[in-house]
Parts: sequence; C-alpha cells; structure tokens
Amino acid sequence: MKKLLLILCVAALLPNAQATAGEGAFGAGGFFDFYIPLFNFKDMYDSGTKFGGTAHYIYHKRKMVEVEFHHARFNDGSLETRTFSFSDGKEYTSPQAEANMTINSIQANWLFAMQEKGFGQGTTPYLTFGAGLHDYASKVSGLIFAGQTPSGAGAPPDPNILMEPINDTRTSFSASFGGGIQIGLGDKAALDVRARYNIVMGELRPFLIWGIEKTYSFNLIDIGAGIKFNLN
Amino acid sequence: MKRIAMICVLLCFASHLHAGTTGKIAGVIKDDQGNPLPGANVIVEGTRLGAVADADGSYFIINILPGRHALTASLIGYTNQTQSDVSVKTDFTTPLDFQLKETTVELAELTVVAERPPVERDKTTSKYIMGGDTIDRLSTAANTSELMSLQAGVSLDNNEPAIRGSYQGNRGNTETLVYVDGVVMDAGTARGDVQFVGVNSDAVQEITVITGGMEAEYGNATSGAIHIITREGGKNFHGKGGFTYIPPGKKHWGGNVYDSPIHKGRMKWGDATWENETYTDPGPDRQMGTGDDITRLAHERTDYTGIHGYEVDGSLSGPLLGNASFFVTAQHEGQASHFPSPTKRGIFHQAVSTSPQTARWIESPYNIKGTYKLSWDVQSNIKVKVGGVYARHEAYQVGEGESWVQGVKRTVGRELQGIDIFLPAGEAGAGIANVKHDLAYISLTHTLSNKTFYEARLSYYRDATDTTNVPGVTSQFGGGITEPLRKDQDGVFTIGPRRVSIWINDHRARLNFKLDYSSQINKNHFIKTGIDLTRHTYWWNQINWPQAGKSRYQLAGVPYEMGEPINPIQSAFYLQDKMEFEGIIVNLGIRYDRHDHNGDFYSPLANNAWGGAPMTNSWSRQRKFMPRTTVSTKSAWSPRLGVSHPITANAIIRFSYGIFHQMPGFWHLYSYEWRGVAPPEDFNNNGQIDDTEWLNKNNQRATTGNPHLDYKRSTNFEVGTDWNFYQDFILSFTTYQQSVDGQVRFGNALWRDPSRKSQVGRNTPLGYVFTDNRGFEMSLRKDFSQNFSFQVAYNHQWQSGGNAGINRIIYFPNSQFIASDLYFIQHTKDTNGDGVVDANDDGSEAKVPLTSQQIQDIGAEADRYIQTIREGTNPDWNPLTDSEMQEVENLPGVFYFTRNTTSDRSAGRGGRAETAGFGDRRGTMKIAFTYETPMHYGPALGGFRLNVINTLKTGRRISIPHPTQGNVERFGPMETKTHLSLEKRIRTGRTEAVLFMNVYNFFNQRDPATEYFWRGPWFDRHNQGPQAELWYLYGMDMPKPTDKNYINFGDTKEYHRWAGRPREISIGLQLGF
Repeated sequence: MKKLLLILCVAALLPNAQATAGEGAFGAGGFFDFYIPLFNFKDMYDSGTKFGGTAHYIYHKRKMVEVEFHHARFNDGSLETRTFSFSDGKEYTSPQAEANMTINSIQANWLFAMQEKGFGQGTTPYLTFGAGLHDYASKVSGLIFAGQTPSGAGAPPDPNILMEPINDTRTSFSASFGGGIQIGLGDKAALDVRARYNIVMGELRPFLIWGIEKTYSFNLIDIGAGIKFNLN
Repeated sequence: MKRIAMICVLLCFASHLHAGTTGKIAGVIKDDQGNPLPGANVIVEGTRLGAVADADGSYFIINILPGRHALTASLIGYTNQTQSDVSVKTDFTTPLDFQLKETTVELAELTVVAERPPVERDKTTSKYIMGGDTIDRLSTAANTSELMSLQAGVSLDNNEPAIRGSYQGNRGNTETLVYVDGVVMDAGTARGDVQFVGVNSDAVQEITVITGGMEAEYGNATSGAIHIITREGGKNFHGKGGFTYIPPGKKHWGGNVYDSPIHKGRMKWGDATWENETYTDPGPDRQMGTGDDITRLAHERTDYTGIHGYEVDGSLSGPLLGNASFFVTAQHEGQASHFPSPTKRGIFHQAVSTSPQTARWIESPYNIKGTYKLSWDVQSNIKVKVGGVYARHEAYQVGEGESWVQGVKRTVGRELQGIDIFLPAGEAGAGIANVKHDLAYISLTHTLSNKTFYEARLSYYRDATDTTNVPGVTSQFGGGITEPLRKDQDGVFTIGPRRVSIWINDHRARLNFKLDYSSQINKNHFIKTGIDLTRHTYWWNQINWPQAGKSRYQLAGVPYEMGEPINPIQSAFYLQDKMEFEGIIVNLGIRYDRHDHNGDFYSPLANNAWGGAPMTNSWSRQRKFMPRTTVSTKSAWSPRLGVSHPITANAIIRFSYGIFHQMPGFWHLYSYEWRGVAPPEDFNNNGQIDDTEWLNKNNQRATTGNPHLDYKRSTNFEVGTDWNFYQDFILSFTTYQQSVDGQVRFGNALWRDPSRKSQVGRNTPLGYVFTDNRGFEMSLRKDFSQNFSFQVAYNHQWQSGGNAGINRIIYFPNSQFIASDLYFIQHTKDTNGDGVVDANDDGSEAKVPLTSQQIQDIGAEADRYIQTIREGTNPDWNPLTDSEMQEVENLPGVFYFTRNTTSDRSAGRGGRAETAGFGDRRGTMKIAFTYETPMHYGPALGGFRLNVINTLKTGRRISIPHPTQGNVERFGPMETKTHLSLEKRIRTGRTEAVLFMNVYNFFNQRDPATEYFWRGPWFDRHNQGPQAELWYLYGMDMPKPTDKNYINFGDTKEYHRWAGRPREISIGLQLGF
C-alpha cells in the first residue's frame, strides 16, 4: 500500500503538461498494480501484485482502445499457515505447505474521457471497461492429508502423508470496469492512474477442512499506475 | 361420439388461429411532408404477400417467413421505395415505415437498407431468437443443440437441452419441448430417455428459445420451448457440400487403455508366450468342433487411437416446376472410436449413458440424418409444405448402463476392471440396434384475406428401436447366453463369450393434427387460436438376461402384453389475443389440455400394491387375475399473460405470468417391471413354454407405472427489460420465479394382506415433488455489424425442492372383499379341474377358493384392521400424516389411506425442510464471438472468419458430510470449454469454397466430471460419491494418498474422472454455390 500511496503522491505533484497527442495517436506503455481480492478469494490469497504492458490507440478524441497484457502473482496463500482439526481434537498446520497463484491476462479496454477536450490534453479523468481472458494457475502443495486414519486412538496425523500437489488452472473470460486519471507528461507521454473492479469467471476449489470455501467467480480490485508513450 | 362432438365444438370455436412459424411487418407510409398516403401498396419481394395502406397510411402484412426480406412501397405519382434487409422474426412484429417522394422529376427506384429495430417492442416474455445469419456464421463451429445452448437459460447435460435447471428426459420426461416447424419432436419418453434434437444446422433458418412464459399455443411443457424453423428453397439453386477430417489420436483423458493402471501386472506386453497365446472360439453356431470355429489371439492390442474420423454433410435447394421449391440436407459421421470398440467409427449421439466419457459417442458405423422440405405455392393464397427430419443409425447395442451389465464394451468399465478388453471386435453382446427418429408433416396455409389466414398441419413423429442379432435370444420366453465364461490361460481376461443379453425394442409415435388460425381483426388486435389433437402409439420393451435363468422385464404399453401399443389421445385448444397499442402490448391467452388414456388399465391397486396381494404376486398371475378399469381423463386450464411496455424508442420493460401443465412421462404412466430368478416353468408338462406360462417365475416386483397420475403444474412469473443502450448493443435482463408442483418421484403402493397381517408392495410413481426456481437471466448481444458480433448469456439461480403430497398409499380389504371371487390365497396348476396336471391344462394357474373357515378368519382380521383405523388405534395409521380412509372407486370392499410426505412448503407440517432441487446450479454462462474480414479486404486478408464459443456451468448441488459441521450443501466443480473455429472463404462468381479448422476444447481444459461428483441415486450404485467429499473437504480430485489401490496401481478411474475430451483439431472444406 505504501508503494501505491507514493505513486499517487508523485502523480498529484506532477505538472499538468499540455500533451498534444489526440485523435489518431497510438502508443504503448507499462504499468504496475496491486490486486485486492474480495469475498471468498481473499480467504485463499490476501493480495497480489501485477505488472504488464499496454498498447493503445485514440480513435476519437474522447475514446481510446487499449490492449493490456499482464502478469500477476499471489504468494503465500493462507493455506500455508491455516490449521486443520484432527481426530485427536488438536489443530495442526502443514509445515511444508505452499500456495501460490499466477495470472496472465490479455484484455481489451475501452477508455472514455469525461472531459470534452478528450485524451492528450492535460489531466483527463476517464471511465473504462474491458473484457478479455485471464489464464490462472493456483498451485497448492505440501498439505498434510487431514483425512488420514490415525495410527491409534488419540494419535496425531502422520506429517509424511501429504496430499498430491493440487493445481487449479483455467483460461477464463473476464470483465472489468472502473476509472482513472491520465496526466500528460509532455507531448509524448502520460501518467495513468486507475482503479478497476475485475470479475474473472474462474473457480478455486474449496478446502473446507481448512475453512476455505470455493471461490466462484474471482472478484478483485486493482489499483495502480502506469506510463503511456505516444509513438506518433 | 362425445369426443367427436367436443372436437366439433373446438373447431367451431377456433375462429382465429396462428401457428408460431411466421412473423409480421407493420408500419406507416407517408410522403416527404409527413402526410399519410392511403392506398399505397407494399409488397414483400419474391412472395405474394402484400398490403394496401389504410386511411391513416398504416399497413400490416402477416404470415411472413422468418429471415431477411425486401419490401417495396409504391403509389402512382410517387417514386417506388424498396427497403432491403428487413429482418422478420417468428411471432414478432417488425416495424417498417416508408417515406415516398413525389415524382416531380424522373427518378430511378429508391432502394435503402432497412434500419433494424433495436429491440422487439412486442416482446412480452424471455424469448431469444437466433436468426439464419448468425446460424450461418456459427454453423461450422456448433451443431444445432449447441446453438440452442448458447441462449440464456439453456444448458446441455448429456447433450439434451434443459431450461433454467428443469427436468430432462432421464428424469421421467423433459420439461422443455423442442418443436421443428411447429411439430413437437417428442413421442413420449422411455426409461432413461433423452430427447432427440438432431436437426442438421445447415437446415436451420431460425431458433427461438422461450425460457419464460410461453404463449398459449405452447403446451404440455412446464419450463420452456425451443422452436426450430427450417429453411425453404428459393428461386435459385443452391447447394453446399462439406467434408471434415478428424486426425487420429487419443480421444479421452488418461493413458492408452492397454497401459491403464488397472492392468498393471495383468498385461504382459513383451512376453512372447502371453502375446502369442491363442484360443478357439466356437463361432457363430456356438458349437465347438464345427466348421465355423475360429482361432484367435487371446491378447490382441487394437490401435484404437490410430483411427481417422470424418463427417460428410450437404444440402441442396432450389425451384421446382409450378411455384414450388425444395430444400434437402443430409449428414453422415464417422467419428473415430474413443475406446477399443466393436466398430472403428461411430457417431456423437444423445446416448443413454451415464459415463461422462461415453455419453456421446456410440458404436454406429452406419448412420445418416437429414431434413427435407418441399414448398408449393398452389395459388396466390394457398401454400402447401411437406417437410421432415429423418435420422437412422445402426448401433452395436450397449443397452442400459454398459458398465454394470457385463461384457458389452471392450474397455475398462468400472466393475469389469477391464477384464473384457480382449473380447473380439465386431461382435455385440446385446445385438445391433436399428434406431430411427422420423418427423414428417404436411401443412396447408390458406390466406383468406390480407388480415386472416389459417394453417392446417398433419404431422407424425416417432422414435423407434429394433434390435437384431441378440445372442441366444429366440423369443420373449427366454434368452441370454448360457455358454460358460472362458478366460485366458492366466485366468484374468475374458476371451468369450460376451455375457450380456439385452433386447430393446420400442416404437413411440405421435400422429398429430393441428389447426391454427390467425386474424388481425383490427389495427390493435391480433387473435390467434387453434386446436391440437395427438394420438400416441407407445410401446417399449427392454429385457435383460444378466445370467442364465434370470430375467428382468421392463415393458410399457398394454399391460402384460409385450409389444402391444397403448394409444393415449391428447387434445388441446388455445386462444390468445395480442393487443398492440402505442405504449403497451398485451399478450393474453388461455389454453385447455386434455389427456385421455384411451384404454383399460389396472385399478389404482395395480401400482405394485396388487403385486403384494397373494392372488396376483407374479407376472403371470397378475396378467390373468388382475381386474382392469377405465382410468379417468385428465384435463387442465392454463392462463397466460404477457405485457410489454416500450418506455423509450430503445427500451422496453416486460412482465409475464402463466400457468403451465404437463402430463408425466409415459414411462411413469404406462410401464411395468418384474424380475425373475428362474426361467419359466412348464406348468402343464407339455414340453414347451406356452404363452400362459410366460414369466410364471417372475415374482420380484420392481417399479410399475401409474396411469392415475395427474398433470404437473408450473406457475411462472418474470419481469424483465430489453435495452438498446449503444449502437446495436442490446442488454436483456430478467428476474424470474417458477414453482412446479406434482413432479414425479417414486413412492410406495402397499397391500396390507389380512392373511399374512403384513404390508407388501414396491415403488410406484407419485406426483409429490415440488421445485422452486428463482434467479436472474442476462443477455448481452450485438448483432453482426462492423465486422463482428457477440452474445453473452448468463443465468444465476437458486433452486430448491422437496416433497408436498402423497408419497404412500396403503390398500386393504374388508370381509366383503375377502368373501368375493376376487380374493384368494392359493393357486392350482390344474386349470381344468380334472385332478391331474397335464397337457390338457392351459399352463396358467387357477384360483383355489377360500374355505368357509378361511373366509371367516381372514375376513375377521380384515374388518379388525379397518375398525382400528376408525378408532384411531391402528399403529399403521397416523392421524398427523395420513388421510381419512376411503373406498376404492369401482372396487367395493377395498379401502385405502394415503400418507403425505415429510415436508410442506407452505405450512411446514413437520419433517424435512426444503432441499436443493435436482437442477440447482448457480451459474451458467455462454459466450459466442464472431469476427470476420469482409471480402473487399482483398484475397489475402478478406474472407476470414473467427468464431469463439465459451461455455461455463457450475456443478450441481450436493450434500457433503463434514466431520464437525454435519451435512453441508455445496456446489460441484465448474466445467468450462472453449471451442474455436477459423474459416477462410474464397468466392469465385456464384461459387464459394470455405476452408475451415475447428478446435474443440481449445485450452485443453480438464475439469472434474460433474456427473462423477454428483451423488444421485444412479451414481450411488457405483460408489462414486466419496470423490465429491474428497474434493470439498480436502480439495482433492485424485484418490486418497492412503488408498492402497492407488499406491499400488495408480489412478484406475482416470477415464471417468474428467469431463469432456482433450483438445481435438479437425479441418475441412465446404463448397457451395
């Protein structure tokens, strides 16, 4: 969160340069975001980071289309530290547990400038919505099999009986909507700060013994900033 | 006579009617000053349809086929104006106005492209229409049932459509009806049946899916209707032929079946002795030492993954002499075998199989399906159409549940553990089934005036199976292979014979006459009315001989007379008025349905209660002694209301309410099933099994149909909106509530016999299940423009269900009945009473009358039982749950009381709370996206088309035993698939070639099979439920790490664990002109 605040402060302090790029301009850029999971997803992973690149085209002074590629990571899922209740009445963790998730996406975004002057003219607040594909892989390994039969009455679970690695993978359709501000940085560049709500039609399986319900669909907020360069 | 009188009354009443296969265009014709032009003509180009504008300049044209048309308006002194590309949809009004210019200067005819209406102003219910253009674009990517399933609210399970989680055929009868050109494609379900929907997509002009309140013309369905309109030929010849090539490869998840973990230690590839082991099969005559003996390798590995697959399809249409045209299509498939199989190739078909892997592929090298349509404009106002659908396939019979009836498939069945994998190819343990689906109709459309027309349609539809070459079956008296089972030298793998014998024959047909009459009686009222008469012919036989001597007869038709059809008659009448005003459109209708069983059936006691009575406790005894009675006719009224309110030029809000009735499936009404553990006995010692001795040892009752069931009833309510919010983007949103009562589940019919002082009986269908369904349905679509189109459909719903009604009936006699001729407890084989059982007896059994003492003793016990009920002291009768005692109609001396089930949705009168409904599934989503480059982009870049289809469905709800929280209800794993097709079109003059590539399961997504995780009664037999617990509790989709078989062998269920198939690529070429 600190990084995000820093980026926002820098953005706010930047002078509103008069960019000249307008209709017909195209270019590319890069961004760095934070993912904030909501609902059941946050029980599995509490936050993630995301970075990627964009290619954009201003086809009308107030309308921009953007193709976005991104890679995101969610490390240290909660299963690494969650406990399960065994037949002896005690709670156990799985010391070797690892839970990580990666997402790669491709998405088309439409940006609508909220000011008549359109994009490329100083500071421009905008609304955006997008749709695309999220390819995700959530990998869990090293969990002790909590359903094992104890070796004797009151005996603890055998920590060597591990479940096979579990992999939730899918390429899912996704949609997002939100808003942002584009701040001109001279003729050819702009700083882009945005926040979006993302819905990914994916599923993460449940682990009820560890208190985790199934996730369907993924609901995430991403907040971040990027820089765009016009190439013409 | 009464019936004829009623038909006459209905015909007289049917003054205005409309069959839902055409649409309407209406508008105003004005000059360029905005003044109406009365007397202006409008014609639909290429047809004889037209209209003249009235004093207000208004006109309308009815009875227009769906599709795109050009309309020309003309008036002397004005320049003709033609509007092309006018879209007409079934049952909708397309608004189309003209503005004619005065001919002050000589102008050529003005042609403009019609502007499409953004939303249908007269849409009063959730109705989704896929037009011919969209179908054309998706035709190489999806078949007809997949096209249906792209609409909101429709899901496919086992390739059968269901709307908003409704019942499908394998639950008794489908609650969703499929129509083709106005003809219902359903002839009464059989056991575990799946509705046939195999119409070639090349033949489809339009698909309409009604997921909400169906108009009154649609009946005998509680959830929705899918209406397919087929294409007609035009004035020019058109033809299309396509070939699709499917490269060889493994078509299933998991490894090659010959290397399956289940065979670890059993198969010895590389061991020359084992590989070269041979055996001698007795050949077709099943006698060793005769000339037809065959020596074979005991372990022969079939290269089943090296088989090429293909599909061939074609269509031809064009004019015929005398204002006639035709349209024919045909398709043949040779899909490569997915597993070692008696045949190399087969078809994707709606198979009655519960295995996720084999649900759609069946062994059928000989198959063809197609459509035909002949249209003839006899006169300017009379049109005759002859059309139909045909499908044939000859399939190696797998019978019911190929895995538990042994020996059918050469694969790795669950119980078989793969021991039949080396059974020789080319043999079918259960014979070869010749399966037919036929739909044929002839219709006459007579336009009486520009406001009125009627359509009369005579149609026929049948599903039929004729099984031949069943080993060891000679007649209905017995069958099955009695030859001992032989194993290889290791004693592991079966080398012969195939051990199963199943004989399935059925004939289910409906002959229908429908008269629809429509009239736009004035500008605001479009009246439709019609009658619908159907005579069914229905019989169905399935006989299993799982072991020598044992038999299981599951029959439907005339009771206890195999292959004799029953002929129920269903009739209906409807009347509806579509009222179109400036700010509101109202669709008001009423429907009357009637079901006449048209035959004598056993009294209510027939429902297995008779099976518990001593006089009728076997098949042959019931056949001889059970009294028959007429079953009362059922009828129901169903009101329908739909309202649409256009709130802006681009948006409407709509509301619909309706009551829908549907008779239970014929299997639940007319079937009966008995099992026997011994072959029939020659009672009269004449050396043969006579007809009267047939099944005289079948005394284990299973289930029996119940012709006394009434209509199930559904009340549907929905509110929705359609909004054209940007360019041609249209958003539809609907929230709905549906309550269905009277769904069928098996209950008990018991006979309390005073001689034994106990109750005996078994399952019988009773209509005591209810389902409540509520949710929302969203559709976002963009018709094709700017080189692309898409549609997204999503349903989110909550379904619950429970019991509310009678689930048990207990019958018992009084002393009067005991003293009658109908009651006895002993039988004799001496039917002629000569004191000797010999060939002079007829082979049946005769009753032994009760003695006076027996009448007195048993009668006293019977009366005591009744008296204790009256006094409230009988432990069998519970005043809190049981009804008052009543006497059975037409059967003096027999009484009954009924027991209500354990939950009630309204009053909660004790017992179980509502639980998840059968079809409870949170979310289903479908996305179809098309992008194409126009031809003018040039030969290199133009003519490309990309289709992407994505489907998503969450799992059904199941109950999981949580170690600390008790049973918890959750939803099964999600299943998604993405299919892709890429086309390149090359056009030369009138000829077009299309090269295409289809990719099934583009992302190679592997999801747990929903069916595998579902814990319904069927799957409980296979003990597959525990996997669901592993998935929910521990997140595991594999066996437990402590499972010894898994540790020693590996995953022996890898072929059934996952849904669908791995990625599969096919390529093809289509030529058309």
